Amino acid sequence: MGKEIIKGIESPFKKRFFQSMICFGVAFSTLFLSSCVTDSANSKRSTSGASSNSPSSVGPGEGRVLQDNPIIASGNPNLGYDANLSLYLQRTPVKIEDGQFLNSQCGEQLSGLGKGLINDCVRTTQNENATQFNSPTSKWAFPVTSPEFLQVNTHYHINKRIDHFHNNVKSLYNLTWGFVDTPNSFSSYDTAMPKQIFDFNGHWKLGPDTQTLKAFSDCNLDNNAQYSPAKFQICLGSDAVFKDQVKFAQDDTVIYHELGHGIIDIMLNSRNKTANLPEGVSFGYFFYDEAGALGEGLADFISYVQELRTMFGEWALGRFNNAARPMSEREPIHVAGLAPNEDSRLMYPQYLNYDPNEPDSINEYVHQAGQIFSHFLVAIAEDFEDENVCKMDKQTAANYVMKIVMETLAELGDLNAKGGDTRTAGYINHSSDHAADWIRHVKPITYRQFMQVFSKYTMRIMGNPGFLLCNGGIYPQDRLEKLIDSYGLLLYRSYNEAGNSISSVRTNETQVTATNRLKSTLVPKDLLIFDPRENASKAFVFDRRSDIRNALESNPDITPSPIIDGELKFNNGNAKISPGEVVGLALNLYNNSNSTMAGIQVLANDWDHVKWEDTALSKPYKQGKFCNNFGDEFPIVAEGGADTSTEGGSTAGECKYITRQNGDETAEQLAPVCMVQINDTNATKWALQEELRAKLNLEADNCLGGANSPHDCFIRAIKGADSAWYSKMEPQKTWGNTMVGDTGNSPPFQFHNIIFFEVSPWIPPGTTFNCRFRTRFVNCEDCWEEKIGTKFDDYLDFEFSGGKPFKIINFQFTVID
Amino acid sequence: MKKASLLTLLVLVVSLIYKIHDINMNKDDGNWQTFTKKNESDTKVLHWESTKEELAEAKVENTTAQKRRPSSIPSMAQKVRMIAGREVTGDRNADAKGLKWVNSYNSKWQEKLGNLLLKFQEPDTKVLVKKNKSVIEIKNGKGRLMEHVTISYLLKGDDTTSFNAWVDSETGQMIRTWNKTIKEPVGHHHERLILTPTGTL
Repeated sequence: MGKEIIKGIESPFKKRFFQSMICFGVAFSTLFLSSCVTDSANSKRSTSGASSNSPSSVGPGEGRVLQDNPIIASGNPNLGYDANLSLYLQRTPVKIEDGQFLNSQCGEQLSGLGKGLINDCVRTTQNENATQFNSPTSKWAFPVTSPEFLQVNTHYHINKRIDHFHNNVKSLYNLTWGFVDTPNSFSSYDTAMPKQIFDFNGHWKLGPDTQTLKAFSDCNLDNNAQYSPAKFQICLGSDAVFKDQVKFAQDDTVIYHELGHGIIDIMLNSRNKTANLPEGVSFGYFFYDEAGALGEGLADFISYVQELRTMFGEWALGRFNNAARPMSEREPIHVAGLAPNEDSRLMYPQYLNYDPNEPDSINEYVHQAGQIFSHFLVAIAEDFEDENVCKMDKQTAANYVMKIVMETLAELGDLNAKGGDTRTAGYINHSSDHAADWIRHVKPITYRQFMQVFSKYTMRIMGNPGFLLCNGGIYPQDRLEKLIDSYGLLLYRSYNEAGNSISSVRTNETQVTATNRLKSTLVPKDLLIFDPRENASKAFVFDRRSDIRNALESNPDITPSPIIDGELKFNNGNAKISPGEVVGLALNLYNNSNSTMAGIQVLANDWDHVKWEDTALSKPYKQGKFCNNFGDEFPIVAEGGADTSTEGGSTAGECKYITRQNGDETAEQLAPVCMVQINDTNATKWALQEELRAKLNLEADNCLGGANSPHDCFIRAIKGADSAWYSKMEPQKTWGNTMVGDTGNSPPFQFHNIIFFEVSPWIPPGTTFNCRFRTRFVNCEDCWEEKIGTKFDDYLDFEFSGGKPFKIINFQFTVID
Repeated sequence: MKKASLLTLLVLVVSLIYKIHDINMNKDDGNWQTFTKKNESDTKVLHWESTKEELAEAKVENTTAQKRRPSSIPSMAQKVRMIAGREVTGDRNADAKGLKWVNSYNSKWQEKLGNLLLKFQEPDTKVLVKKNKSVIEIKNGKGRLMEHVTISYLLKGDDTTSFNAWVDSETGQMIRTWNKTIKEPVGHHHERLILTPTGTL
């Protein structure tokens, strides 16, 4: 599999191949079988190939590396796995380390006073079992086939990238706050960059014992690499077949990509680290979500910022595994019809599941979905370069895109909910008490959220009349919007500068020019419905013991209630929801519109949909009735729903009042999604699960969440598995139809497509439940913003505790033994 | 009346001392603990201080070694509020006297966590847990004792899955997780878990 020359890979390298042939010609003509060097500055050219790269051939502190991956360095797209890579070493020695170990310092350039200096910044070893090798002479030239070389190559490229990153952070700081050692009192624009970022090492990794980045250059991982944010480690594997020859550490673009995840982690948490918070946020929480896709696209782009090339992973991923990724529509690896012009971009959502290496397949995977983002970032960098626009050189343009990305990430990741030093709490991510939940699933980072904040900072930096960075002028808002629209990503109608706090002024937001939205499609939320076709089911059920065990085993951060049996012995695989089971549900939703829906989310977390009674009972035992004033108008008063006829909407606890503190007010409380049907002597009604517990005289300790969680006593979504993601649904189709067509085959469900419930063994069989899911999608017309007067503005963050921004979907089932 | 007030005060002082003593019992910082099931037929979980080999396999190092390394230039000291040896998070300025406690310290929290982490894993699975710090999270006048941990599962080859979590100091249950390992399986046909529905409703 995949060991042939990959389709279309020859053309993009023709130019370099030509150059390489000329180079070889020169070499042969002088009868040297020496290295084909990539620089001409060195006067001491070696003539003895691999053996020449010995410590004696370099000075103290120096070594030799592959400046680019072997495909590019050789100019040969068909380079064999057993090629002599020493031919492609850069002859001029480069600076590695002055000490005897591959330990580096970073941040020296940031300040004259030592601010931001990280002494033990990077430490490189072969793998986790190896001790650091010692070079007593501090010379770092080793044969390319040696483990030492891989470590030197890894260490060099990591330090080079970190240095570049810190230069960019400093340069952004200079733009916002002025000199690092003598910052101005006020920033030059409303920035997310913390003024004290270098005082508290906000330009480096947040977390305990993670000051040093540990890089492992030769891990025992087949066709894989890892970034571990909890341990701040990078682990580079090797090709599964040519294990001894093809190492990921030989490909600098892969090193940059993995380190890129670390840099994203740092940027996203820069405000949290500066504020000395013990907790960080992640860029994506599921096998597939849009933040994860953005993270992969951005990590690819970080390779671009270093190499200024629009292909990634040609050697480690592309040569033997058909998995290199392009970053521009001009790369010939793409299918026909894509081109870097406004009508032929890699558009959202059309290309979310597109793999240029296997264009006929459909693959719900963050690496594929992230390509739209990497292409956009390259496109905007190229626009900054354009002779008729900003006339920047390639590197400067890429650096400015990174600065805008830094601002965007710093704001989006702020757990203190401010997003900037001068803003009030609640500007973003609701509040410091609930920010982690907001970022994880209540209002996660999506293509829409990212592009909206990115646009804001593009205008504050490139469109700033105080800077005039764009060839002496400003980057035009129309141009930005048109470029974003050409990627289908103009999914917002305001720049939302005032933020999302309850006190924000909502009538003064800069508006996106409506006529610039030609390709980006917004779809009303009400067009997301259950599959209406004849005989269509409402949900897929997963209750096979082996499947559930595999799912829980692969996701150890998801832990069901202690009262669920460890052997899952109640899981009977009968396709019903039975007492004692852990059961997966995937709603069979349907796109009833004529446009593709993207980034569909189903939420089963607690929300404000109960009217709480003012009784002597306090939390968590407050009593209440389910509200029926949302789109679903369910349950009616006669069936146990709350009477809202006299509500004014300004009193906490009412249905019309959405909790401002996500249920923390005394009169408020969030309620679980599932209600239970209770048959009284006179009527049947829908009620909180606590009512059933009281009726059954079940000890509260026997509830799934124990005595402190009575309202989800019998059935509840497991935390962490309480939301589902679907990449897209094509018009008049379900997600299943989108993935596998109308073949009748089962769609390829993965963990992120399924909500997992735990079912109490104490439920009397025959009990009926109604779970009230909130659904939405990213390119939704009315899920994220609304019109206030004549202008659009985003919903305020507290409103995401309620039902207004969502399409409510009710799903009823009876528990059967 | 006076006696009743004095008695109330005494009870409050004693309970405060007990609480401080209780939450300050937690001295197992910084060392990795390995958890595994005893055997296939027995669900009992065993644990011990992680061996050198296990630490190497998990790609982590012991705390002592870390402490010996030179530190970076210290950044400006952030103001950290401590109560009974625990860092205060959340509402850092809250009045500690009026706090209502939602949990109490249980010295077996780590064992309870180990049990939860292994409950659905294969019998030979090993998971390493390191406590990073103990905190009191204050929200809305309520204090919760929590442990900040790093969790690392040992998988095939050099593969590991690790993440950070807040853990309840009483129940050992995870409250929130983040920082899960990002893996980069190459190509279109990489192994992934596909679930087949047992049926429909």
